[in-house]
Amino acid sequence: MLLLVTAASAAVLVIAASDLRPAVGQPVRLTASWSGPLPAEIAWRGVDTALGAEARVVPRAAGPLLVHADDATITLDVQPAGNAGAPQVQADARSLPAVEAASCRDDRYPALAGAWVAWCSTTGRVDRATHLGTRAEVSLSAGATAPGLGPDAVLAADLGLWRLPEATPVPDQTRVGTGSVGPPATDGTHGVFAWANRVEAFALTERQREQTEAAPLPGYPTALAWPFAAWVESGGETGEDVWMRDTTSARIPLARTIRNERLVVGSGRWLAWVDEAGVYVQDTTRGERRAYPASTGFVFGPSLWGPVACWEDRAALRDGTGDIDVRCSDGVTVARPGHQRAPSRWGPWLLFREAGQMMVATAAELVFDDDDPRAEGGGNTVAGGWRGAHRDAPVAWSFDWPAAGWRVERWDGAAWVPGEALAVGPVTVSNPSGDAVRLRPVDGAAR
Amino acid sequence: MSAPAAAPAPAPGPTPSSAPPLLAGLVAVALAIAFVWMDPAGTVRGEAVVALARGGIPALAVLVAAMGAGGAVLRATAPDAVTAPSGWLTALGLGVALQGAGMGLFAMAGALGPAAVTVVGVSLLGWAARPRFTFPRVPAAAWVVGAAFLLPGLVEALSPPTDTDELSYHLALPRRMLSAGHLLGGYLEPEGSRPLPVHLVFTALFALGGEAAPKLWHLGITAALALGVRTLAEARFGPGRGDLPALALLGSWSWLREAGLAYNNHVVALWLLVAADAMLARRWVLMGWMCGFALAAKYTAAPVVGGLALVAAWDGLRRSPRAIVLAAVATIAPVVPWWIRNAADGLHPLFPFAGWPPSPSGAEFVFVYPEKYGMGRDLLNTALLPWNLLFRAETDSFVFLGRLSLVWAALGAAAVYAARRDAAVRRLVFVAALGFAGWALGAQIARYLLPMAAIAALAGGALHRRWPAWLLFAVSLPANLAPTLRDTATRLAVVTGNQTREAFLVENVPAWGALGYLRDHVPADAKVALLYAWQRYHVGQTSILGSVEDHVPTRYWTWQHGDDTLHALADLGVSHLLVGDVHFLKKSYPFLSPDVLRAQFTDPEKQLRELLLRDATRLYASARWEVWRLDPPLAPSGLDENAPAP
Repeated sequence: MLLLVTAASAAVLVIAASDLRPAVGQPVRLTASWSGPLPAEIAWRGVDTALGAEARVVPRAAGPLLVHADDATITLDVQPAGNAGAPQVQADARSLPAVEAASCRDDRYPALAGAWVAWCSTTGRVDRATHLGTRAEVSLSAGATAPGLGPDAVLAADLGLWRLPEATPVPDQTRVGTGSVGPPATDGTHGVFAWANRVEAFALTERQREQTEAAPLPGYPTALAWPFAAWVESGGETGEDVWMRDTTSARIPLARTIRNERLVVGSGRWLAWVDEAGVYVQDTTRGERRAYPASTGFVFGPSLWGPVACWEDRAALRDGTGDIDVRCSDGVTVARPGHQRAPSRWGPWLLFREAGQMMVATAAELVFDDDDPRAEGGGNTVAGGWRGAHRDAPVAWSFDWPAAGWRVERWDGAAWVPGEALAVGPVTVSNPSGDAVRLRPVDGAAR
Repeated sequence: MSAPAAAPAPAPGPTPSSAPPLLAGLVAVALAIAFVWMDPAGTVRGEAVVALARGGIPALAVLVAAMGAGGAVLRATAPDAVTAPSGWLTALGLGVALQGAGMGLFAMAGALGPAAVTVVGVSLLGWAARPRFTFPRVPAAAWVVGAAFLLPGLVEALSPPTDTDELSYHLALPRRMLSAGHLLGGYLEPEGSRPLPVHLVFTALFALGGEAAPKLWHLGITAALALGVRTLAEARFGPGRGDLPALALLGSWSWLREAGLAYNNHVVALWLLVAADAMLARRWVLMGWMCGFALAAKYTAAPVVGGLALVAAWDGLRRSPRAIVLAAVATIAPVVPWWIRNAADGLHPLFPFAGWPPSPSGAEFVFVYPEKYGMGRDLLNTALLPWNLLFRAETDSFVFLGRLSLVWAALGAAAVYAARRDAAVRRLVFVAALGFAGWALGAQIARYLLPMAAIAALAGGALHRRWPAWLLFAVSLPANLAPTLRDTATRLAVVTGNQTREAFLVENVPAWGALGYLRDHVPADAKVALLYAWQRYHVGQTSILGSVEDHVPTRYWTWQHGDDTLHALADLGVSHLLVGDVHFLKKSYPFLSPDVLRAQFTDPEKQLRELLLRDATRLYASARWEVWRLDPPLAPSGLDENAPAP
């Protein structure tokens, strides 16, 4: 087994921007991954204001805008126009009577492993899985108290990896034994495990376990956006921080400010976490960090389906005007009487708890616009179109889709035009007119 | 028939010198230490011996010092009491009281800490008065049997604390007082508002020898008490009559389980036994002092103290009224300063047992529900109480929460029978009966009988040796020993140094994950509130509101502050919370009306959960235990991309 141990050096390593394609006049928050002593002394250039490891810029003209922080740089592709407003998507909720909400020793479960609800029998360990679409149920050959859940995957450090719907672990997978300080994370192929003094991330079929020096806080889950992995550490004066290992297994601070960044999760190439001010979703390959102001992170962490984050929102509870609701970055909202908690999202489905019951909500529709983090394509964003703007070139979106009976509709500038049926699995949908697509269930499709 | 010829006297040999045996003893001890240290199997590791020495030497020193101080005072005030068979026991009881009182003076002056050494040092000077005690002659077999019974206590004393009452009170409070340097108390730390003569001695012991010292000291008190009961019974009833009374104590689970714990029931029993002995010897003032300290240490001693007072009044008021008045003064003197302290703090003198202010709605708040314990208080169960106590008590439920040896039935019957003719036994039986009646009226927890147990055992010395009482002792011994031995087995590895303290606590303290998080990841200068959690001893930070009784401090705080519960804690500087997940069930409180159960138990619990969601952030959760952080005012993000452009 090859062990690689690396340590961080104090410097600005990368910069993240809240939007890589901002519109003219749209404020952009910039964050430098600063691992040195605080307060951070960073030489920012090309910004309007700077405060330690964070800076802000409001682009004045369309075109490339280069920002420097010490020796690191990032280029913003400033657009002449931008979309406006955030969608609100309603979701119909039903209970899942077969799944006991409080049956698990670790109250982070039941939760979604892709389209599967991973839940606990009377053992208190996660040893059952029920598919939200087919309603198929699987009894796992063994139970884990706090496994890592990935797309159709359950990973336990000492038991191995289950690829659902198989009831037994995949043979010849690396098992790392007991002693990890928090739940692992998996994408079904790779795994990341936290120990008291290190983090190990590796392909589960390989014997080589790459190690990164770390001090993960006990109890917190790790997160995976292969080849990146993230975890939470206590940073003393900076409170809880999110650290990440990069492609060389070096450790870099992903989110290290005076706020408490914590509860990191991963999906695809995205990592998300929370602090007192909101939810953050970072594209690990492009350096874009979307921020969603929210009052969250008080118990359960966010859930991630690609770049779509869902979280417990307690703003109304703190204001004395309501209770805890679940909100998602793509507009899906579950706001019902009483608390809705512990969100877990995959595709159109949102698993949550309400009054001691497991519930699942299904989005009435999902809209992918040209400013969606998954949007791929060239061209400029110009005025006009769905939410006030569109691109002047085709746009495509790639994602994992779990539900049967849905189809695509495209915005042609005036109306939604029905398109093809959506297949289950990895899909790519596109809109040649550079504007939004909408996913809707075919009438009568089971939810 | 002629008398048998006398055997020839042995020829006188040379006078043995004490030097060789002493030298041999030292060599033996050195060899023993070397064996333990070098044992390749590591059966008992060197660290275990060090731990024993670190706690045991201060514990022994404090006990010896107490006996010296008590002996000196006794020699000056009642010289004949020093040489009586009970002289050493009386001196020990008196000395412990003097140490508690001495520490009390330092504590009231806000000078806990180095005072511990001062009090012990001054106590040791008592030996300069050369009190000549008559130590009991005990056969080797009795020593062996006694040691065997106390061995689990030794294991308990040397293992890390896991007992609920030690973690919440008996060890937690001395540790907190030592770090604070003064007395504590009030609604946030109600345990600190009790009279604390024993816990101040624990504080001294903790300062001198760490957590094992108070436990080992208590083990010493337990051993002395068993020996004292045996000695007094033999002195009063004749040779061989002290064995069963002593074994009745050692063979009762409720007594034995406290041997190696830093508890105070046995100390109270010691004081009351000395008081009873003084009563029979008509040393009224000494009796008064001992009663006073017993009362100060445990209000559950009150019925026994009342019995002793009545006997004193009956026997002494006509012949020595002045002594009786002085005894009465001595009885209240150790308690009154604590009552005054509470009153000065704006509390009821008997706080925390009384004086919890009503809620804003005017409803009363009850500290203890005696109805919760035992098997019921109707006529039938009251009539069957002795039977139920001996035959149906359970060590792990509210059904008396303990277990006693069946030999108590024989001892009690014999004492009552002997009381017809023996005035001394009659007085002891009267006192014990009053103690039992008082216990029956209060919370029927078996360990609340311990303060009077030594007196009852002494009265049981009247048991005739022909009675088949050994059968009762033997038949009930397994049921009494089994829970203790099971517990001992889990502790052997850590005590012998073959398991780490951390590993042991992980296995034996349910909240250890959360406590470890507090220890490793919460600032040492943070202030922690324990809500529905009692493990204060293992919280390194300054802590408040640890649970006592039915989580009274937490319930009361929530009940009083309602929606502002967590804000009020933040105003006190609390930044973190250790929260237990409790569920109050109707079946546990059948004597409460649904309204009271809801208002004082279930609603505060639900409300706290809601407030945590609103005003706090959960940092750690494992099983039923969580660490929360009170949300500070929202830290500005500094640079909000949604703010208007500059």
